[in-house]
Amino acid sequence: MEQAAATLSHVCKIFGQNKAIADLSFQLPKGKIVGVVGPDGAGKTTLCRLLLGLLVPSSGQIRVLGLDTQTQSDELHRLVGYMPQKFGLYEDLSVQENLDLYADLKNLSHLEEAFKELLEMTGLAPFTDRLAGRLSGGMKQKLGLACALLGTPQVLILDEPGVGVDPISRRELMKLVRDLSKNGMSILWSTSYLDEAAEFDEVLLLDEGKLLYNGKPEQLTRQMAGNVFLMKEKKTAPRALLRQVLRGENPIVDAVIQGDAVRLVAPDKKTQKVFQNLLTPVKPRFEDAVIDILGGTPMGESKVAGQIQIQNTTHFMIEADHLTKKYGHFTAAKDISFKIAKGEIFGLLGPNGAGKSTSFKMMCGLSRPTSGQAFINGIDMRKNPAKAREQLGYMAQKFSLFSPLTVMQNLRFFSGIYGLKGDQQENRIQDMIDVFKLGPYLTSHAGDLPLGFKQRLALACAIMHNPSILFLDEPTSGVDPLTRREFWKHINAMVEKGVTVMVTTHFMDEAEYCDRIALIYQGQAIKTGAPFEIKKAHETMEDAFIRTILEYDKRTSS
Amino acid sequence: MKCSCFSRLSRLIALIIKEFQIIWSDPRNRIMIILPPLLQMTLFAFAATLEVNNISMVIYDKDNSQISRGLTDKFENTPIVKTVYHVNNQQDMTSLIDRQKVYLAITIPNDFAKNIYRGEPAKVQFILDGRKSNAAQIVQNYATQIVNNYQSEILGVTPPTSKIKIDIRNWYNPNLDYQWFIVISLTGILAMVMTLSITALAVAQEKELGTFDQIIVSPLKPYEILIGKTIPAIIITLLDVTIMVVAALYLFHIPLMGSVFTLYGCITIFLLSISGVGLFISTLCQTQQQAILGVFAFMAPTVLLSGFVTPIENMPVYLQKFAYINPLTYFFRLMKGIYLKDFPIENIWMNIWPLLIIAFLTLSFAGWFFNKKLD
Repeated sequence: MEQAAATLSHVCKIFGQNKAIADLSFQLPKGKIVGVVGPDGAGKTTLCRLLLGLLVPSSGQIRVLGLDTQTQSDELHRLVGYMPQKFGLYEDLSVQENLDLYADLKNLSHLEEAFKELLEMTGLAPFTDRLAGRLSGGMKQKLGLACALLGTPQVLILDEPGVGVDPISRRELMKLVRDLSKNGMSILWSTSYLDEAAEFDEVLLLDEGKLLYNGKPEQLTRQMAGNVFLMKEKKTAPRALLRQVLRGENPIVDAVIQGDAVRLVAPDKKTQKVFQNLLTPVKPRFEDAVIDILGGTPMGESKVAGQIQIQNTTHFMIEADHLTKKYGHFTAAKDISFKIAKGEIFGLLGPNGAGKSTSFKMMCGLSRPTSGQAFINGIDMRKNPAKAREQLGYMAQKFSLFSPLTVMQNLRFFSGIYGLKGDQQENRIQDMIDVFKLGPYLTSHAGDLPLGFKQRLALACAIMHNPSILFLDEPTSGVDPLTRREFWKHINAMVEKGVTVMVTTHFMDEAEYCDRIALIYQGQAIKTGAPFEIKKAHETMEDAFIRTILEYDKRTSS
Repeated sequence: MKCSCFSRLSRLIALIIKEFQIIWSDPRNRIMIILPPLLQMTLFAFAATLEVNNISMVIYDKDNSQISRGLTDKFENTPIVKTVYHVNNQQDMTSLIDRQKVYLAITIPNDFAKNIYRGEPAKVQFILDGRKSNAAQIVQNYATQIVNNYQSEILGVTPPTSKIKIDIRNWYNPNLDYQWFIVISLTGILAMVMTLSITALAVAQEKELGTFDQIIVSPLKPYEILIGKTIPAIIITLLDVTIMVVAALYLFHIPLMGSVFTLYGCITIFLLSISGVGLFISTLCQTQQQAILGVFAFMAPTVLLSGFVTPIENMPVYLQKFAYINPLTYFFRLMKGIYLKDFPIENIWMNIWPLLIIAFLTLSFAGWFFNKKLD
């Protein structure tokens, strides 16, 4: 028996002109969790599929459990469990029926014991009769994992299992997989969550198919020791401070908002000296190191806010007044109230199915509240929706663009329905092309764009009419950290000009960009406040989130 | 306010342009728009005419006299008759009908010649295959005509015994050309299918793309969104209809007696009533697949109960009621009327107002439902 569960030597995979994997050699150690980390398009999924024998390498050798992935694939598939990005659960079948089906597909029988164990382990035992489509995002992933684990594979390959799953479920998933690895299973876990990757035994950092780092995550993090700081200035708000450091007068690697300060990664000694009085050293985290390896955060100022002029506004641009939404007997949102001031970023955080989308939809008029009112710049959303909507920019989940249309056609359409025409329309479209660097893609179909560009185009389409309010629904899910930083730079620039933003997000660190957040749980806003008020000292946003929910559960159950 | 109207219009235009681009961007869509009218037109029209042209029949001549044989000759020499079977017992005749070998069975009783010589009414029995009621009716007309002609032939120019000479003449379609009927009806059915599928897919497709919310959140009003979906569907259908109208004129030589204006006006009103149904199906469905199923669920009974397959008078009474709320029923009447006899305005109005009511109802229902679905 070999020591490694899988071995790749000099593997290349080329699609047309595109090198998805370039000369990759590594070993997957037995009984360990190896994280595959990298931005979108780095080759993570390609690597998973190569290991499964679903793709043939263009050159190089792959052996999994000593087997050739091509010639011995039948044998291999019995020993490898795979959970693809979108696990093929049958939503119209129950939990048990899904398990049965996958057992049949794998040609397994007499699994009563295994089923029991898996259901026990994933906590799905009480829900065996529930339709898979009715499960929450986290539960779906657990069911997917259970199906992948049928037949007790020796190697488990997980392709982004954490996407769209709330932090609590993600932690549970991690714990489950951790237990599996302790029992000797070898696991390859691809992810775009860098905080997740920090907990793996080893990471493979990929970028455009090239291996940038292979080793323990702590080792990489340690390299950044002494280079990470929290930056604060009494007179300047963190957002303005962030803009200052990103202008690029002093070389830095990364800068993001964290609480009421800016987290600065600056190995450059001169920079450290310039800001000396403002900096407090902090412990580095994995993400700091990854951004460093990827070449640092995008610098420069966003030009998006160039001509934005916000006029005729009230103090509170968005107002939710006791919003309640009931579907039959089920209350999706209960008595939600908040006021968002002009130039504020307000975040709705919460697990899947907690009611954050429902609240969001009521605010932008996609759903009619059962009771309560929603006001946009003082206009009642129910009484005059068309007028209220003229002032909104809306970016839907998964960057809903017209994928069969070209980038240019999309730009034309969205500017058109917001009433732009003639020279004004042409100028605005040109602005967007310049700001978001869409030039090379104008005749590409929106559906064929890389994810990062889809996001840019979606943002461009949402802001072409100079809205005074922006609604962003999960605007950065699935997008790599660099693109996410760039995205927030644009948003911050607009906010500085007085645009008001309401955002829903899964990414806890993204909540740091918000001036205030509301934690939505079981249909209610259980806590509202500035991120640094909600967090306790030395807590990450994710810790704070989980603690608040657990506290709430304890309070309500007693 | 004028300015605002203008800007509403420009938004609507953006919506309509987008709809065309979406439809045109998919090569499958392009084929779907161009191919069916051409294909169906040629295939259906030619195939359907064969049925009434090359008919087979059986004659059971019990009399076997000179006069009865003369009648048999008449049938054998008729161009639309392909084969004439001769049998000499009832069973053989029944079996030919049962096996659908023949449309028409004629029995000549053994006192046929005797009765004619005596100047008494002579009888001939026609048995028609009711399973093909349309074709059977046409064949019956032909057969009656042949018998009547033969009657006047053998009895001289002024027949002493029969005072009333039956002279059947098929108005508006003097040669009883079945092709005419088929081509005109097909134009209607195809127009319906096009509009129905384009509108039914429109909203469902946006839901699949995830762009539906995006449009709802824009300042467009719900009715504008629906108009934006309806107009492209109707324009594309009218283009298709034009192909078929041209084909009908030049390929099938079907005269267009009425005015082109009236024809297109009626088609547009019909399509409005259909697009209401399509939009309703669309708001109901989450995916395009569901929408396609919805289209078929609507289409099959609509075509069946329109008088295209079976004359409405031949339907059971309770089904006839459905025929009268069926837009296709009125549309067929209008099409045939305008095409073949230049319908006077009263006749057009008689069939247009039900269509207008149906259009008003389906469109407002689609709009109402669309609004309700936003909850």
